[in-house]
Amino acid sequence: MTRRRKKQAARKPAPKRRKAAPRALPDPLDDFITAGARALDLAIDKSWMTAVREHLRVTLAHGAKVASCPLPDDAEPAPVFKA
Amino acid sequence: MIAEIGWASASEIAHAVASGDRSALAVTEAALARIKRLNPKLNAFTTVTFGRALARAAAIDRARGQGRNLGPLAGVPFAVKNLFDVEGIPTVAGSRINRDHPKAPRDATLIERLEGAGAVLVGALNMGEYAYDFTGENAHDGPSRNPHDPTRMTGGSSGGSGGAVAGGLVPIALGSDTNGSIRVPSSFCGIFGLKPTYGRLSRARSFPFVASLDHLGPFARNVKDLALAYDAMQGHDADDPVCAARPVEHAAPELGRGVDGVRIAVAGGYFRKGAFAEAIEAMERVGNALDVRHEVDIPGAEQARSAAYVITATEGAALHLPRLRSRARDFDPAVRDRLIAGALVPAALVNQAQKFRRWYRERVLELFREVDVILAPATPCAAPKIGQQTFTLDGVETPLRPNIGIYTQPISFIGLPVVTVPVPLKPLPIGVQIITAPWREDMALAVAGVLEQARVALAPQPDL
Repeated sequence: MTRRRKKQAARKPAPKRRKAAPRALPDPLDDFITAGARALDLAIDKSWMTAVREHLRVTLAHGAKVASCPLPDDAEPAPVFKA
Repeated sequence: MIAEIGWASASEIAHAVASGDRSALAVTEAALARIKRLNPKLNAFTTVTFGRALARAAAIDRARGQGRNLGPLAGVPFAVKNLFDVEGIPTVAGSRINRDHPKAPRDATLIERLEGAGAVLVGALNMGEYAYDFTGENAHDGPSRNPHDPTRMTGGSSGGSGGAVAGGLVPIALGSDTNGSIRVPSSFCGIFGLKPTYGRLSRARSFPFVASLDHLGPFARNVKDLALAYDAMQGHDADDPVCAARPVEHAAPELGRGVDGVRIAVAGGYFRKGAFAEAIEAMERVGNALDVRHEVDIPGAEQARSAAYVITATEGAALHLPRLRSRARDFDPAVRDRLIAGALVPAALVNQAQKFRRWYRERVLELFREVDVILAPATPCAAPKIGQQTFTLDGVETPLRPNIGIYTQPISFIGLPVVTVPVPLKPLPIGVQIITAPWREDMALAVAGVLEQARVALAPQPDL
């Protein structure tokens, strides 16, 4: 190889390394579900997790919709205990 | 004279049996034969109580021979959602788990009352697992099938009840309604259904779902039968702590009083969002027949639906928590995953939902000072295909299963009485809710009677 070709070869960029596939960020609800299930002694199979997460997300959204309705501090819940 | 038992009304059957035109045994045998022929197609029954029904019918015929009063439902076959206790069989409530329960030692109160009026129990009916369902599908027993098109849903969770009445297997069936489970199958199957006021009819010896929202009630193919069944089941029952100590207020004798002077309005706002063309047409037909010109906005209906959703998820989860721990794999996965999610919802949200419930009740009761009856769609669409997962609601593709009850949940949330009437559109019927103030089932039934007389509401006979 001539000196010139050696220089050209040296200038060639190194072959690109294949980038690792981007990892999906863990859903913040997953930690909540795992901790909650442990506290309640519920065993959740990994294959159920997606559905449980989606159901929980929907239910929490409904809860937030209700919570957005301002009620006075002295509002009584619907079931009233009578001694 | 009854030509065909399958489509005969309960009142016609009772008249024929009382007059001796037909024996109760002949009626029961005809009903059992029809169930045997059609149930493989409709999958409405999970248990047929052949021996019990025949023995009961024979006893009615003996009583007639002795000149005794047979009751207003003499010899009328009926069936119940399989969450009602039926003496001698386990109360499965649509589940696999409850099949391991012991046999029920005594009938549910409402079965006792219907039989006390002369009716004959012929079996228990398919339902969505533990009543957490709007489709009528069941992972263990297979889906209930719609008599107007067996590839379509009956609606749930009282799917077998809807299919059995619409298919002419029985003239009367009982179901439960926590968020819409009487009104949705009534709509999809094209029959009449009554969800009474919360606390009106006893729930004793039925398997619960959400105690603070559970109601029981009847289905029928005409208003008179619905009222007769309802009247026969009224009355206080100490076995159900929620059952109100109110006098029996018969509705059947009031059916002919019409709607003169009754202030009727259509629900606007939330109840207009998401409705498919068939729901809009059904509302127009009913509104025109009643000459309704007034529209009301039920304040907080959307939040009410959300609050019902939260309370259902959490109370249901609390009920099933021990089974979720010990036998999670024996649940229908679609039910199990929702219940697990419900178990994890923070208590603060549930408490807020219960506070909202009281606020909302007061607002709606204020509305009933201005109007007597509110009309609303029962479902956003006619019966979807069995297995369908999504539908387009207000332009957005949305999961079907939890959203069929968008119009029923805000009403049952505060225990209002509702009669669902079927509007016989082609190719499929769809229901409209007739909603009244608490304890005014009589008025809702009277309005339904007017619509039936005008043939705007009627149960179409399927080609089976």
